[in-house]
Amino acid sequence: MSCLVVGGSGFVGRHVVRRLLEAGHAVFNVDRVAPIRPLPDETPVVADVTRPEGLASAAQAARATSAVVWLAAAIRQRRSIDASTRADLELMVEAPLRLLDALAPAPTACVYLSSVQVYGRPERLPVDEDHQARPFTAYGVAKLCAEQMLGVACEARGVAFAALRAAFIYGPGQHAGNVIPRFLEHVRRGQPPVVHGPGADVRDDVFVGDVARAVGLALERGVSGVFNIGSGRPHSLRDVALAACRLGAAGLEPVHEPRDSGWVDRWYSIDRARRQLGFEPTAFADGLGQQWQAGA
Amino acid sequence: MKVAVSGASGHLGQWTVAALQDAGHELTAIARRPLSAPSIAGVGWPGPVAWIACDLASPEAVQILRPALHSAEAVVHLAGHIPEDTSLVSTREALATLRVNAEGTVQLLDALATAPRVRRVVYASSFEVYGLPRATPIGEDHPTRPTGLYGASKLAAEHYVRLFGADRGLACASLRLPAVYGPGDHLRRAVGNFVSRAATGLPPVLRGDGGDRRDLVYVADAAQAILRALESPAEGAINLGSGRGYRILEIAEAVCRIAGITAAPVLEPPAKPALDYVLDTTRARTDLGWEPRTSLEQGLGAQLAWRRASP
Repeated sequence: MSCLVVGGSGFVGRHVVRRLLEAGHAVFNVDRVAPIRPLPDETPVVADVTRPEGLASAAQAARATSAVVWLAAAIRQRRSIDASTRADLELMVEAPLRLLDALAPAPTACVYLSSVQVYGRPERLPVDEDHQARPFTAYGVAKLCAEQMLGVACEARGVAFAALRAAFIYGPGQHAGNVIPRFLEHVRRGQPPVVHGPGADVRDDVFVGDVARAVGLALERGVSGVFNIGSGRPHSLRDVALAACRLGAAGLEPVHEPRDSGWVDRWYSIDRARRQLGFEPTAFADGLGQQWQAGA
Repeated sequence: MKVAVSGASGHLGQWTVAALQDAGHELTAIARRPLSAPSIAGVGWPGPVAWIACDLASPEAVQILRPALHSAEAVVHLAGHIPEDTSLVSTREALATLRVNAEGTVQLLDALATAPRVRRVVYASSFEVYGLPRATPIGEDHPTRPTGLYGASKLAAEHYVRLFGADRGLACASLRLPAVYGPGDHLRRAVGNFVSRAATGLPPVLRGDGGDRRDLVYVADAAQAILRALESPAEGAINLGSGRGYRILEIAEAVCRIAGITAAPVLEPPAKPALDYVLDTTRARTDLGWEPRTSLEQGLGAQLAWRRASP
């Protein structure tokens, strides 16, 4: 299959491009920036898809492709409504709608990387795909709107459309400011990771390679619908810190700071992805080990 | 109260301006094309209206709205784009729907960030946020899984209004309206089509056997609900509707009766499977003290009279 990956130079994008190439697919990577380390056989297309000329370059590249993967997003945690909220809609909803329209013939499949942020505060655990979606971030609203509008637009064109609602994604290439890279960095320097509060918060961290595999599976199987992509096994922040300590010098233990984390417990059922995609997640210790080995 | 009304030149907008003015509110009306007087025969505005010409989806909207909203104490947000067919997927219509309904709402809320006195936002949403009904009547806690672009865009706007309220500590309400009918209804939907044909002496044409139920709200009743919502502290989603729903054939037959058409409605093969859409209006009754006052016959009669006078 020949695939157009929009946002293929980012953290998740690098893993998706690699997974698709490994499975023998041709990959056109459309991104505002070229990948720092392009993979052999990858075709980078530097274009800003929120601009007409960028969209035209993407559509030009896509003439040879039969599948579209949309990863491009700007991650924000804001609750307030401001100019960035509109920019989010332009990038995450408008641009993919325009791209879909510019593709003739229409692709056979489209996979959209959504987020568990569409759910908002969990009413029950684990959160499955039938859980009410009431996002508490503007980012979550844009993702939800994209799922629904692209779903309608794809259905009308006979395009299989899968929205993957990813949990917190970790792994090699992750932004250094996030909690897991911070813990690993502490351990690497021989310092204990610092956990706010007792660290009992329930969380769901999914390995980036698993997200990339889910994208590939969804394309290859041509499925439609929304799918949670998580670890399948909830753990606590203390568990994360302990796993990080095990990778470093013997005797390292997490340190707890008496501070309320304000965390809302969450984890996500991946039964549907298991059933329909044949998705099986990597054990956390293995994923974290890969991130440690990669030095990030 | 100083109230800003977006979409004030529209069908519901013109009736809402009248209802709010009658109740003594001081209005700033926002519309792409301001009106010097109501364009719908039968609507009366008792006082002057201050207009702001603004397309909420335009890049300049926030800049235009900020000074205009500075003294506003409440906002009634009615501006929206209703596609010709709400499930239609032409990209032009999809983008217009997204831009006006979702991005336009975002820009209105962004402009409100600097309005110091705002304490209330009332948004006119749609029953289309629900998607396929799992139960009848549909209560506000029914899942929101819109099956069309319009419903998806209105739902996104509702979420933005909710986030804005939570962020600012304001009580915001989203009224989920069924199809709005009455004088000024230009939409080519069931009631509009039935009445337009009846105005020329022809019986309504409908698809299927007309046995499926739809909900309707008469435009002046909807305007009253908006007034109640503005003056109440109720938060979150609130359905409006007839409280019972009408079979499509029942609506068509009522149109014939009122228009003095003896021919029966024309039944054509169904385009879609029959579905009942009836909204549970318990919350509007208890929390807003609202219920529809206009009977179907009265409402259709008024729309027919308007249609005949404004062909």
